[in-house]
Order: sequence, then structure tokens, then C-alpha cells
Amino acid sequence: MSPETLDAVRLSVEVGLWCALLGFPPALGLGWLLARRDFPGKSLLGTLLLAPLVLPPVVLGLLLLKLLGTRSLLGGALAALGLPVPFHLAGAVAAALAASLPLYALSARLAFEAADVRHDEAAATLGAPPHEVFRRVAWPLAAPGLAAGAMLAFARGLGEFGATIVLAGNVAGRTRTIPLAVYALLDAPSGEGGLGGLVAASLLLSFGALAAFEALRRRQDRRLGVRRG
Amino acid sequence: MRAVLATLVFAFGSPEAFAASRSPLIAAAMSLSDVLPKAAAAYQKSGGPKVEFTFDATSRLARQIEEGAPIDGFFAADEDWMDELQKKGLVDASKRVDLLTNSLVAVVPASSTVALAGAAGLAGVEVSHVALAGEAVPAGKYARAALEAGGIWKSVAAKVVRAENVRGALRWVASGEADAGIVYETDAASEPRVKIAFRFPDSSHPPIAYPAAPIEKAAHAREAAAFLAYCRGSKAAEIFRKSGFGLARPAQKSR
Repeated sequence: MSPETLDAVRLSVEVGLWCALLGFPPALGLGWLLARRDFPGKSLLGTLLLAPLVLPPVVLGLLLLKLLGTRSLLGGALAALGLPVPFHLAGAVAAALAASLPLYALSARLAFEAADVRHDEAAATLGAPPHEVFRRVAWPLAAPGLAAGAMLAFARGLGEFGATIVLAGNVAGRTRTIPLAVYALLDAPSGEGGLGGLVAASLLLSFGALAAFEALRRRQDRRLGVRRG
Repeated sequence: MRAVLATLVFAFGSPEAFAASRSPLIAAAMSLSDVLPKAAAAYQKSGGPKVEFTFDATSRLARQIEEGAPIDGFFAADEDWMDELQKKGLVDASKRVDLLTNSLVAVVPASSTVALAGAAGLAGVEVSHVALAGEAVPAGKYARAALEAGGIWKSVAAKVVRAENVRGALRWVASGEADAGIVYETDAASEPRVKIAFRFPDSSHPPIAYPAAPIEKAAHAREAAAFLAYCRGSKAAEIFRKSGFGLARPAQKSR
């Protein structure tokens, strides 16, 4: 593989890992909130959370650019702190994170919903304070589901294209992930030569992540005693 | 039920019927995305058929034509890509013409206070991002050639951010994310949020020409050729000139 190909694969994996890592707290919080709590605006929050899944990625990128561009309030502050978003890895991560968070939080929500709430209630009646109920009952039951969500977020983050090219640009070695590298190579007259490695890497990473997702999902089912089929 | 089926068959029909019923489709360089629809509107007003367009970087369109996209005519932004297609026998070489010319300029955001004294200014410290079109996109190739001719490619390369096409590069500058960008003069004129810092001398890059040709064996190659002929006429010439394009050849007598 050429150094450019390796760069793209490395960047894609980095972006995917950041998605799985940075998305964890919000996915956990939102998933738990939506599965276990009733509050005004719950269905609105649920809908907003799914929005990035159905928004055209280019539109998502444009909205993120308005929010995180160096001329915006938030983006300007981040740039002043030494974390400029457009044209930097942070931009690729932000775009991929926004695109993958819905899948992540949805997985978390389903995991909490699948775990019987009566376990929580039983623990509470036995005198466990809420944080102990979460730590010792809800969390262990939902953890494999969350891990499955992390794999899904990783897989979605790997291949983010539309929002990334609008927010982060196509900068070799910095924001040129696998899909952007493929896009750039499609341009070149003799570009097809370099495509093989990138296509192989995407297939491998995506299917690997999905296989892991499937394994974790089964584990979650087993832990909860769910039988399917 | 039968009526529904008949309607479906009528609506979708055979591929040939579909090809016969649609308008000619022209694939055109992104930098022509403002001006060609204007020319097509004038063409339709003068009695010509409706013409449809797909706009993208020349390089990507060429790739789509190679893969057999149902495209009837190609308006490219450089000769290399047209040559490439001609070598493969995909364009009707007998009807290929150079249609337009353009110039290369450096733009900065309209509010920018950075004064760029020629190409060397792009290497200065006050410029941290220079937006260009992709490596194989004509506007990106011309820009690199111009920077190399100025002897500053090496010091600018690390600041280069690539957009998907020339309009993407323009957008980066317009939004202020890039401090400067290299685009065609016509692009710069179409965007009020940027201003031209300087023009690259024509000698610093290969001549910017827009060759056009019908696609060999396309369903509507003849209609594409007719539109191409209209584009060489004096009425279309006026539209192109108004948008800032140069004419590759003196306009022919209007049809």
C-alpha cells in the first residue's frame, strides 16, 4: 500500500475510534434518559437525536460549518483554544460524530429498554441509592448493547463523506479519510491503481465492525435471557 | 389492474423509449454552472429543444462518461481530459471545438485586509489556508502550475486545502475559512463575498480552454451538437462574454 493509502486508512480508523470514544458519554446519557425517564419534550428530544440520520449529509456539514467555522462563536473559541475545526482532524471527527451519534444513542436506548426496568425497581426497594442502581444493575445489563453501539458508531464514522468534505475539506494526511481518498482518486486519470487497497481496507474494517456489532448484540440478548428465532 | 400495468409500462417503458423521450443531457465543468443554463434558456427561446445539465469537476464527469453514463455532450474545463476521452473514442472528434477561455485569479474574502502582492504573497505568514480544487480537477491543476511557475509551490503546498471542485474552493474563501483561494476569474465575479487579489499571468499556466464535443454514439448526440453549434453563435457569445468568459474563436454568424 502506498503511504497515501496508509494515511487515509489510519485517519479513518482514528476518526472511527474518536466517534466511539467521544460519543460514549452522550450516547449513554441520552439512551438512559430516553429509555428510563419521562419528561416534557421527550419525544422532541428523541426526534432531534435522529435528525442527523435523515438529514442530507451535505446539509449536516453546512450546519456544522455554521456552528464550528472559525468565524462562528463556538468555532472561534475552539480555534482560540488551539482546536481549529475546518481543515483539521477535529473537523472530520466532528462531522463523523454528528453523523454517528444517532446510531450510538439509539443502540444505548434499546439496550436500556431491553433490560427489564423491574430489576432497577427491585434494587431500589432493597435500599440501593439511584447511582448504585445504575452502576450495579442497569449498566451491567446494558453494557454489551452500548459496546455494540460503539462498533456501529465506529463503522459509521469510518465512512463519513458528505458532512466531512463540507466541514473539514479534503486535506491529505489531515482530513482525507478513506472515502475522501477514494473520491480524490476517482478524479485522477490513473487513479484506479490506488483504489484497490482503499476498497479492501473499507470492506475489511466495515465488515469487521459489523461482525463485532452482531457478536455484542447476541451477547446482550444472552445476558438478558432473550431468545430469538 | 391492467390499466395500472399499462401506465407503468408507458411511464417506464424500454430503455430506448426512455432515451427517446428525455432531453439531451450535457455534462459540463463546474465553472460553467451559472452561464450554460443561461445559454440553454436563450437556445430554448430561439426554438431549440430543452437541454439538461449535470455539473461537476471535469475529471469526475470524464470518469462517468468512461463508465457509460447517458450523457450526450461534454463541456470540459481542460484539453487533457477531452484528449483522454477522444483517445478512447468516446467523443465525436470531428465536432470537437474549443469554446471558451478563462483566467486564473487569487481571491481573498471580501472583508480581508491581507494584501497579496502577487503569487509570493500566498507564501506569507498571514495566509494559513489556500483553497484549491482537487489535484486532478482542471482548476486545481492550473493553480498548481501557476504556483510552480512562481517558484512558490513548495512553500504553499502545506497550506493547501482541497475542495471537491472549483466552486467548493470558492465557497471556502467566501465563508472565510480559507484566507485565499485560486479560482477562475468568472467564479470570482459570481461571488460577492470574495474579491480578486491578483491575476496570474496567462503565461504562468497552460492556456485555460473549454473544449466541447458531442459524445460518440449517444442517444442525443445530434441535439448536443446542435446546442454546441448554438453556443458558438453570436447570441450565446454575448451571454458568455457577459459572464466574463473569453471566446476561444471569433463568434460565428448567429443562427
